[in-house]
Amino acid sequence: MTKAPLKPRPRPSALEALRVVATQTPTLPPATIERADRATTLNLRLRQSTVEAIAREAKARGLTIKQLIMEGAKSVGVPIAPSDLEDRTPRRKHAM
Amino acid sequence: MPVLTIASSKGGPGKTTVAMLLAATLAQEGLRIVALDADPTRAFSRWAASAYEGASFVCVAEADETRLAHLIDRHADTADLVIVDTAGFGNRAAAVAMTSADLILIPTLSGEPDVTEAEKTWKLAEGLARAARRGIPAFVLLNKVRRTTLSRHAMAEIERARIPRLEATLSDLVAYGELSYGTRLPAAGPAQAEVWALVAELRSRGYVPTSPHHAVVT
Repeated sequence: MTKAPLKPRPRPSALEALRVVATQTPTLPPATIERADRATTLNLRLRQSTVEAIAREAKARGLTIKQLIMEGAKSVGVPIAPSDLEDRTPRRKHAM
Repeated sequence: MPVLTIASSKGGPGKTTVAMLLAATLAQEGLRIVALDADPTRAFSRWAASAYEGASFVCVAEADETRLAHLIDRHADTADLVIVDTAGFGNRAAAVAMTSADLILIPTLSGEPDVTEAEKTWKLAEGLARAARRGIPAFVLLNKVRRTTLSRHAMAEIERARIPRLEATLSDLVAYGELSYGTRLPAAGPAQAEVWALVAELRSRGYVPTSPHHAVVT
């Protein structure tokens, strides 16, 4: 049995097209998969005096060493992920 | 204005080449063309930005289905024709471009896997059209055709599957391969004649607007 031909109708809106695709082809993958921005490590081999100077400056500003370095990189235009600008030092729950 | 989506669930049948040929030819005629490159390889938009030197058209690379859907919406109101080039595998961006299309072109080669995938793409288009409750014409465009038994067999297989096919075909010409490195369209010879025949057929079927240069001045 042949199906009845569909009538030409106006183009669907963006939202309607997205809805049709989501319901008609729910298993289709996206064309691109965004890479997860996972945390990784960066080790720096520095002179002791440099490390001490950075630590002193960070303490004076109320920042962690990582925050201080990230703020510095950000100030010269490096696109630093917002979570790398936060103080993420692990702390005990009820520590004063 | 019309949205023409070039789709195939198989890689390598010449989708990007067809998109390049149509965009450049119609831009040369004076039409306002917007090309949307929904293939994450960005072959079309790279060519448009760094190699192509012909008549200008807008080219935007976007493989995210939500942003692509809105781009189609926005440009369909202002351009004479929106051409969407899609990736060679089943994906949401291609499905959105097919759902939003006024015409779907399915380029295919003559091999069995090519014809099978063309049929699959056509059935996907049909399913999307039914879900959207609107007729979306879809045609196979035979590409890299040689005058051989294989090509005749492929045509017969497409007819047996009752998939609409354009009369126009593109041959296996070096000029098309050169286009991806080149700056301009084939300016003479069989390649130019084939592209013009393709445009003429699309226009006669009402899927490509008349060029401003063809308009009758009264």
